[in-house]
Amino acid sequence: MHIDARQLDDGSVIRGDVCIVGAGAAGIGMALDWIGSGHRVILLEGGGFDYDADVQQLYAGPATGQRYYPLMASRLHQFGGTTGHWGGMCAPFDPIDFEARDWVPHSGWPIAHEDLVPYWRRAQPKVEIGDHPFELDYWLARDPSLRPFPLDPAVIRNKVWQFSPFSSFNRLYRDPITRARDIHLYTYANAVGITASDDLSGVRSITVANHAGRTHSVEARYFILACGAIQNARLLLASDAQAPGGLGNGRDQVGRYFMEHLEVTTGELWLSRPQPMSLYMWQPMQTLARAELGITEEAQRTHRILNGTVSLVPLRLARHFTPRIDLWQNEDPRQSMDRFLGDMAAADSLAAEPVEPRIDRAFVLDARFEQAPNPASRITLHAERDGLGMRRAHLNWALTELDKRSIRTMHLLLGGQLGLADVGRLRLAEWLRDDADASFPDDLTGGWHHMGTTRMGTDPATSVVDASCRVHGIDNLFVAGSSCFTTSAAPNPTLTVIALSLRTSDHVRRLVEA
Amino acid sequence: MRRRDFLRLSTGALAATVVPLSGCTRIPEPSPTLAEPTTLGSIADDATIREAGRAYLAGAPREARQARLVRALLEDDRGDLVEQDDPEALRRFLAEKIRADFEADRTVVADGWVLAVTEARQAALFSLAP
Repeated sequence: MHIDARQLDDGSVIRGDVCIVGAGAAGIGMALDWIGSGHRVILLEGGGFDYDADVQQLYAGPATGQRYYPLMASRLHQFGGTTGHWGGMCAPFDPIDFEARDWVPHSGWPIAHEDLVPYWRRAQPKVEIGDHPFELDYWLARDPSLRPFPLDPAVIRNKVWQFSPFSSFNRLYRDPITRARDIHLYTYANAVGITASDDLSGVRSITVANHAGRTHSVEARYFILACGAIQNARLLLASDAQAPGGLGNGRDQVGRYFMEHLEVTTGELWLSRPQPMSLYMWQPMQTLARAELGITEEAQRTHRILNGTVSLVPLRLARHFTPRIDLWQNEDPRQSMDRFLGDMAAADSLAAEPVEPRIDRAFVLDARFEQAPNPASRITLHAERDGLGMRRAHLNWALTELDKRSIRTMHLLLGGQLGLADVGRLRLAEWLRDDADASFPDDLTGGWHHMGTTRMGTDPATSVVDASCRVHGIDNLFVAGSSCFTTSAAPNPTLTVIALSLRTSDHVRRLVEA
Repeated sequence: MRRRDFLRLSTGALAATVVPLSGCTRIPEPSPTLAEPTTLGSIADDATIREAGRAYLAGAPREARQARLVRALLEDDRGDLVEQDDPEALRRFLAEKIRADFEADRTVVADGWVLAVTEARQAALFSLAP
């Protein structure tokens, strides 16, 4: 069922058993599981089904610290959320990502890797990658043309990604959601504040508003915030009428530990001789699975570095790319997307020109690395208010020495292993060559993977939500998605966003049905 | 091209710089093979190899003499200098040194290249050519 909240009488009260705030990957992923439950599920989406410039503008806000994208352009404020410009890359996190690592401050989830395994499996069909496992051996057996480099498996691993066929949740799930009798989707229902009980132990209602001037109240037994890491934190911080500093923020943890993936070109691999490369290559809409090179968990422990992987892109193509952060600087994400696609098309065209044969044995290394949890990397509220009167989010993206040291160390290890096997030689990008320099280049690109701002933990002094993703001290308020991640891991987060959200949703359902 | 460059290196002016290290075995003149890093040579052009060699020497200035580089390259596990009269045997010897370097993590970063110290020295020797 779909209702446009702009059409409701001002001051309407919307009631349900469960209220999910946000219809992106997390919100829709959970709502799908409630279809046929017999419970009344309110699903709130601030935008509509199509791009709306006024609504998108609500996402604007300043970014300081390490250079970042315009906040407005790094997310999509409409049904389907940022799956609207998602690349479809799916991989589960690794066991080490959940461990307390003594060389990674603030690491250690309150749940283990095994706790999410059944939920990753449930998430896979939702992103249309079927039930194929992620184990390398499965893919090598399935396709003998896939051959990994002959590197020492004690040091280097091949981590497998699978590819969702560019499935925007807007296109995939609009009909199933709007046709479901027990899912009440309200579009143009921007959550602008949370009202708690007098003792702040529970949520009474959420206030929603839109540019038509309508303001409504949503009441439910349980509330799940699923707006993404920036907006989840923003909403809690802005709900400060009863709780100075924001709801759930008695220990000043909301908004802290903002993490991104450090996505950046790190160097080149030049092969000694031609090698089968199909395992490492990706053709949009054709490749089912691809491997990226990473360091084993044992090597991470030995060298005390973060987790991360590198993908390989043919040099003849990659040398014509413009760094995405340079392309994606228009606040309007549609214009940024146009520039990005134009750049790729131009690179494709230039790559078709003849080159020396040795160039065809060269590949650019693109890393995606975990960011160390850093309390100084955070979302706060800016003084400026948006068109609905809510203070804007301000991102300060702050990196640490461990971040760069991890990337450099990993590449030195990889270079050594490539040399030992005489697969080829690795050449570090210039910004990685000086081991005394902890700075990052301006073309460091995040992946629009916003994580960590309402992190999970057992101690309210250092976390916002508990192991069930319930906000500490607030009985009926939960948070879903990547804002709950305690660490960022190496893979793209969408599959884990959905998996963790399903786990949270299951928990809430048990409460509803108790 | 590299062979011709290297022959220029080993005749004329440089013949006068091949001096024995004091109190040690006389260091022979290097054969062209010594300054031809095999793998790096198959993927990089001469200018790149030269830059890598110079970058290595910038970090190891004490090795910026042909004699020192030749000694380091020809030295086997016992500290003796191997013969250079068989280019193929010499290449195999150097390949094994490179493999052992990578095995023992004797690697350097030279102009960004992650190299075994032996092949960095070969690039360095190549870079000493005018």
